[in-house]
Amino acid sequence: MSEISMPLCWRRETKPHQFCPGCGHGLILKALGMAVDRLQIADKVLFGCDIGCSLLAWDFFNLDTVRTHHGRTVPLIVGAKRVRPELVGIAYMGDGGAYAIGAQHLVNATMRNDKVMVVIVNNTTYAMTGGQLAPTTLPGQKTETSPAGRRTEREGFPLRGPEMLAAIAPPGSYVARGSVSRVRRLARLLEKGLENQLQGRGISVVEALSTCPTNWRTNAEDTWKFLEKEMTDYFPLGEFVSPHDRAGGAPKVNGNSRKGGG
Amino acid sequence: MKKRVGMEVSFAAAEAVKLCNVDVVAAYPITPQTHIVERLSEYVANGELDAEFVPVESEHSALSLCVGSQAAGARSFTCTSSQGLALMNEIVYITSSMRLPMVMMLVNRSLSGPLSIWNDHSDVMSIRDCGWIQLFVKNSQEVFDHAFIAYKIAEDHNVLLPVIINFDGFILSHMFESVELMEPDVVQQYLPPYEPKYALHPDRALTMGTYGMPAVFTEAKKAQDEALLASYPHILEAWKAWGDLSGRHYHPVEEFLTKDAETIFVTLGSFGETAGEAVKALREKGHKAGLLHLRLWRPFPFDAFCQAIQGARNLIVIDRAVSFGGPGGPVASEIRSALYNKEKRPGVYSMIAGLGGRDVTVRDYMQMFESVTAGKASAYEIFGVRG
Ligand SMILES: Cc1ncc(C[n+]2csc(CCOP(=O)(O)OP(=O)(O)O)c2C)c(N)n1
Ligand code: SF4
Repeated sequence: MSEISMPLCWRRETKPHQFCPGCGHGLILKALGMAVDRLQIADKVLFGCDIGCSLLAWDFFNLDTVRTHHGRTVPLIVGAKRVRPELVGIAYMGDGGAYAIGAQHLVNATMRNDKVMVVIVNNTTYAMTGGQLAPTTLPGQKTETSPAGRRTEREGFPLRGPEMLAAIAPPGSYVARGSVSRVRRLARLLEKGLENQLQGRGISVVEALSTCPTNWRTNAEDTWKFLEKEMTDYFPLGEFVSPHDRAGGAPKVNGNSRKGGG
Repeated sequence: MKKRVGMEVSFAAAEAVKLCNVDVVAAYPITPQTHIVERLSEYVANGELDAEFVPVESEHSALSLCVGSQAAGARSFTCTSSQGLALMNEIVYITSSMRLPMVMMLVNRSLSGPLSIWNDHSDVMSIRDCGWIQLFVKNSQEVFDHAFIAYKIAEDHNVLLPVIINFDGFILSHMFESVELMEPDVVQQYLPPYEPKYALHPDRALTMGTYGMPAVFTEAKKAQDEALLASYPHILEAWKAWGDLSGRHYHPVEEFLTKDAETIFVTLGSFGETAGEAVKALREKGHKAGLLHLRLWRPFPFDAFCQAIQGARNLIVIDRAVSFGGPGGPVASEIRSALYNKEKRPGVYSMIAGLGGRDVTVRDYMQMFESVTAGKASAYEIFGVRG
């Protein structure tokens, strides 16, 4: 990556970063960095990273950063935001942190419409601990704790987090899903999420489909195929709730297809 | 024929849990526990173990689920480390107060913060008073054997208490060691299928998890304490029966060259192995050093302990957790209070060492020995700390 393409809010001394080659985390943090740069809010951001591979972002930015504990980044950032409303709170976490161990926080912060942004890295597995079954593991997908593949009759179907939250998200919230396969688009979704918070409207939740070649045990080609085909088929890209088209009543879904909005 | 194989200690642990023929495994991954649960999930997937494997959404759920399955009469198992145990804490106390005889393996790791995945005993010391029977094992064979022994003790109708098997993360869990496996029929002979004394069953309705008004709460706690203390002879029986069957004999405190020792190290977990080397080296130099490995932590084996250290002048108690603001490490403080009423008692030197994965070498033990015997050590030290 050239000097020019590095977002300004990245911390240069800590690059190259610590994620594995081919990992999606770096791309998501690039998109986030682009969004923070564009809005020129680096001096306002409080960045919280969960335990999971997201913890490797603890020294990633020149931003006020707090590394929290597994699944609890949302309430921690909400706590800081409640006493320092001028801050822009970002909770950066994996799908395990967000949808398994910390699901209650995500649901309740959404219900309360807390004015923070949650960025959820969906890589279909618990990556940091070596690749076990996560709420997002696809049907049939093998992991360390689903050696025969996810069996939906026993482990259920993968959770579509943004869709679930969209069903309860109050007016003013913003819920979307992007992918590391479309970094500019992802940066735009993150920017919209941050704008939503800056305007004091409500919670923003942006899920990003990501890659984990280390635990998927895939080469570059298969990694990209899994992301673009299997994952994106199951987890459609788009905006699920936008404060502009939801002033109460049932949630609307924009671009709820692989082609739309991505 | 006895079969001796080399394998990762976590896999030996999983193999033993499989041989226990557990009905339920519920767990959430956390380093360094992961390999045990992953291996169990394989056994369930390939049909080697007929059990419910539930990859739950947190440790709080894992233990809650086991409380439910155990209460319904199923042999249940979970396994965790560090933060996972901290998150379970609420249910850890519930399990023992409900007298549910399940087994948990606790692969010891430091509690945050700072975040560390490495080994010490801060996790288990945070639940010292939880009412479970607590064992510390120090090598692969002991891990393997204690799976059977733990269920045997827990399910004894005279006991009916949950059991925690502690073993050190990474420095034991991720080692390759040789272990003598047992045939399933031998294990079955020792550990027959679980016969619950009380189980939830709609035909024979009962209530578990009751409300304790002030008029009965103290009595309930006293009964719980008595039950834990009264488990002691049954723990010895379970070890004895296992010794008769396997030839491997276990005791609440294990002594190494203590008989004439003037200075005795006291350790928990696999640190005993290195401390043993230090004791050998000290003996070669003519020093009267000994080692006492505390295998049973709860119920605390007061009598056996006092007997083992009789005649010693100094005890060097290695603690791998800090009791912040307290008078010493948790094990040392306990030992001091156990000895307080004795007429003749040794000096107790509390040494905190091996926090967050820091190595404690033979040389370190020798240095502790030297400073204690030269009268230079204080009663409470964080050994080898910089700055
Ligand atoms: C209470 C608790 N339980 C378990 C863990 C172990 N742990 C660390 S990261 C992690 C899962 C990470 O998965 P995810 O949140 O999806 O993030 P990823 O690593 O995939 O980015 C787990 C289970 C922990 N740190 N704390
Ligand atoms: S394990 Fe997976 S998610 Fe974690 S840094 Fe490596 S590729 Fe990324």
